[in-house]
Amino acid sequence: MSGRLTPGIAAILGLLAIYVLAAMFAPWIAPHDPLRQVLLLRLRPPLTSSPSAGLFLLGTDDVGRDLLSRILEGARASLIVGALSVSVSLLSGTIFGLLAGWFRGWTAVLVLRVVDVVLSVPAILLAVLTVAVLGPSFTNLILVLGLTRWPRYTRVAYAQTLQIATLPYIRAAEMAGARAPRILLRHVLPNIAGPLMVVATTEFGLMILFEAGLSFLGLGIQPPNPSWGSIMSEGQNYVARAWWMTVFPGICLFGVVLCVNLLGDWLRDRVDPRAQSR
Amino acid sequence: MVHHIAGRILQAVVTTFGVLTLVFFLMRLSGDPTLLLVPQGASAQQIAELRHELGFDRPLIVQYGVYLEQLAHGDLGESLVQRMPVSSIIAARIPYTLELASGALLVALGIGIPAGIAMAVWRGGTLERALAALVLAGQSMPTFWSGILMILFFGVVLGWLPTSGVEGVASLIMPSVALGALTMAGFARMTRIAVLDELGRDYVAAARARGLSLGAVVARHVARNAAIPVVTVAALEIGNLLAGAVIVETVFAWPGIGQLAIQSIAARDFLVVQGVVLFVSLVFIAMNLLADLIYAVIDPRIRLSA
Amino acid sequence: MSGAAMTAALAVTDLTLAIGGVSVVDAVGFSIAPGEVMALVGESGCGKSLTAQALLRLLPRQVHQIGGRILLGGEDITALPERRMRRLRGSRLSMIFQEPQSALDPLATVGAQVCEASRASRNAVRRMLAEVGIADPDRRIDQYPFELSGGMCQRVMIASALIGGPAVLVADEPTTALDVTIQAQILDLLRRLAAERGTAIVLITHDMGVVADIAERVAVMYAGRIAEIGKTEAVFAAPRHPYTSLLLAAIPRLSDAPKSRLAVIEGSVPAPSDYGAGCRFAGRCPLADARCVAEQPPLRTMEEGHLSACWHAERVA
Repeated sequence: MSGRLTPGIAAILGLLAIYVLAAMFAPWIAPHDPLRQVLLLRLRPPLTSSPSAGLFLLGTDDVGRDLLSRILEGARASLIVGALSVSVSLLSGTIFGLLAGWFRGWTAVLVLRVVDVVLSVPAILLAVLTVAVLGPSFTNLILVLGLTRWPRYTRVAYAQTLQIATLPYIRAAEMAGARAPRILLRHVLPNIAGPLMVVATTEFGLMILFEAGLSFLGLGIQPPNPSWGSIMSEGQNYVARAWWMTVFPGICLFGVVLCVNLLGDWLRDRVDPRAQSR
Repeated sequence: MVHHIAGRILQAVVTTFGVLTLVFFLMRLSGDPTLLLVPQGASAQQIAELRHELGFDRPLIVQYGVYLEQLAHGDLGESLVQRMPVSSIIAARIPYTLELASGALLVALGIGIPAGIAMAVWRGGTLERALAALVLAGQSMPTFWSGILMILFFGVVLGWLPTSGVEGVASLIMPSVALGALTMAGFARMTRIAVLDELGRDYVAAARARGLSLGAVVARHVARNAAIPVVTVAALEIGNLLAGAVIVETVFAWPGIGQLAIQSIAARDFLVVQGVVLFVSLVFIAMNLLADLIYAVIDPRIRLSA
Repeated sequence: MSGAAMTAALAVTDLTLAIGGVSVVDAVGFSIAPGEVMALVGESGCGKSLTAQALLRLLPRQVHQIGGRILLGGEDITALPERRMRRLRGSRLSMIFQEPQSALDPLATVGAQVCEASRASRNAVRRMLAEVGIADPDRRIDQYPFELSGGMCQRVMIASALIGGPAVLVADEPTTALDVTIQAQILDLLRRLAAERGTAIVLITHDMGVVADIAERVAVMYAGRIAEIGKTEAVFAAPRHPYTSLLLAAIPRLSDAPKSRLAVIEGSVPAPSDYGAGCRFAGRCPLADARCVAEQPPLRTMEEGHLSACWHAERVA
């Protein structure tokens, strides 16, 4: 693996760093309270300034809330949801894949069948149904996103574990008396980490898109808390009069997902050159 | 080949059962499903009556059996909100979603595959880089955003196309493009990789050595070989299109089953939601099977085996 | 170079190919008479495959011909427009490849591929398949490549290359991927067909045994240049270039004493970017001196039709 950091990748990492930092410190760097309504200043364009309320860099929404602050808060929400849901699915998916690849036989058959079943229900519908039944709370959102995506990791973990399990030094460890959990943790896991990280990166981007989509449909983060998706949903009603409500959150969403996708491609090229998209 | 096909069909059946079971348990995740279906402010007695009427007070195994039996007859239950069979409610909306999905698939195939071939054959040129950038943008752009932007630009600013609803072919254009964009990007990428793969193979050089032009080689040999992975994906994409329709139909107020699902959640009509999920999943499984069968027929290595 | 009075089937002069700014094939020249089999032999990376591809003007994208001429039956095809070159391929000039099974489209029948560009009739294809030694051609013609063995696939390739009646056939390592027993059959087939049809064959190989088997003349390539060229018998009996001499010595023989060491050529082939101003073999040559390192030896005539590019050609045993 070369250690080359091209200017392109450096720029992408830089942009993502800005996103992460802005998201984490949103409560402190936001110029206004994202929930504060100033009804006299509804639907004001970007750079509107008022002597009493201050500068609204990106304009205001339909109840006079500062768009920039809401976007920052929304970034925070997306980051947390993305990170947590990826963690949930990464953890559960990897465990299932490891077990299936190690023990093979009926375990593998069962796991793979379940994977097939979950993948047969389009993720968004699975999410929609689950949220409908359980109610739209923050925890449920994370759970749902994690629930729908774990098969992606399982398939990769399974295939990789199968390959690694037949390697001579693994058999040697087995014969030396090492027990399965130890082997799995110390030998198999580090080797399959690479491809799993690639999947996790693209999944992170997808989770952010997903959360935005669910919030757009009203099933994600609930008002008055902002999410890029819900801001755009509100904005669609005023698209003729207040284009900024849909354009700015969209740019942020698009930008973050684009950077994450490019990062994922770059990682994939480095981890597994055979799988290059050329 | 028969053995192969039989195996795939069996898999599909097993997966179908799995999906039905999954949905069954999802509906009972929060405990008593009656509470989901009952209108607001119902009294405890009304709830108990409804529970008995719908059979939710019987043992789980019995409920499961009834559920499967009903599904076998195509009975998705009756909506308590609209007082109509769920299957008719869904059936009324399906044509719209079908129309939208077809439009999107057309966009995806019609633009994606030629773009992929062009990117592979004219590799390294400005055309390839421009197309690659477009493809990347298509994959990263949220569908609802591109939808709203299109409405803003083509509907509001330019006034060329209707901003929502179903009014003739013109209103199909934007939703189809919005829905098809992601799939198109995927097709272009796949086609490009498949064609590049094939172009590097010996038989391409051998065919050219026989006097075929590169164009003829691409058309006659490369296309078919490259088609195998793309066709497989195309059938699968139909399932993804149905899923993506949920958002696109909401953005464009298109009266298909996607919009139906979302509206039904707001109306607390969960049996309809269940119905949509079951329907789309079954279509998905059927499409997977179709892709497998097509693959088996195209590739003579499978066709001529046992 | 062959001194034949009639027009050579193929004559190459000064062929130079480059990748980027580096030349990988340098001033290669030879000519072949109709019906003659000439071998182009050398180690991997000496440029013989690229030379073969250059003959059909089917070079990979990064490789460019920056010098030299190719004459097919007296006609200069070096700068021929692609459209006209296409007409020549398959009909007057054809090529067969190393891996027979991957040189055929797995999704098309064997028959379809043989008659493809030549537009021969089904009967003609059947007859051709029979001629190259495929039993039961009526059944085979509709089969797919995966149903045929490697040897049969190579016969199919030969059929498709010869069905247009070309004057020149370029064979790029046609037997390398085949079993030794099949190898002999394929070589026999090639020799017989060449003689019957008057087709000249350029045989690319790294195997001196193959050369000895069917080639009437041989050109030895090293690091992109021709080291020695002449009649096979003459070159084998009395090589005039140290490299050829070492190549011949490296062939294990039944007459060798048991457990004797295999003769090897010390060192390895230099990379194109490392070519110096002098002889490219100087680094590994037992006869090399200061002049060899400083000055590139030209191809000089030793006897009639036998040339060598070595300052010490007379001294080679």
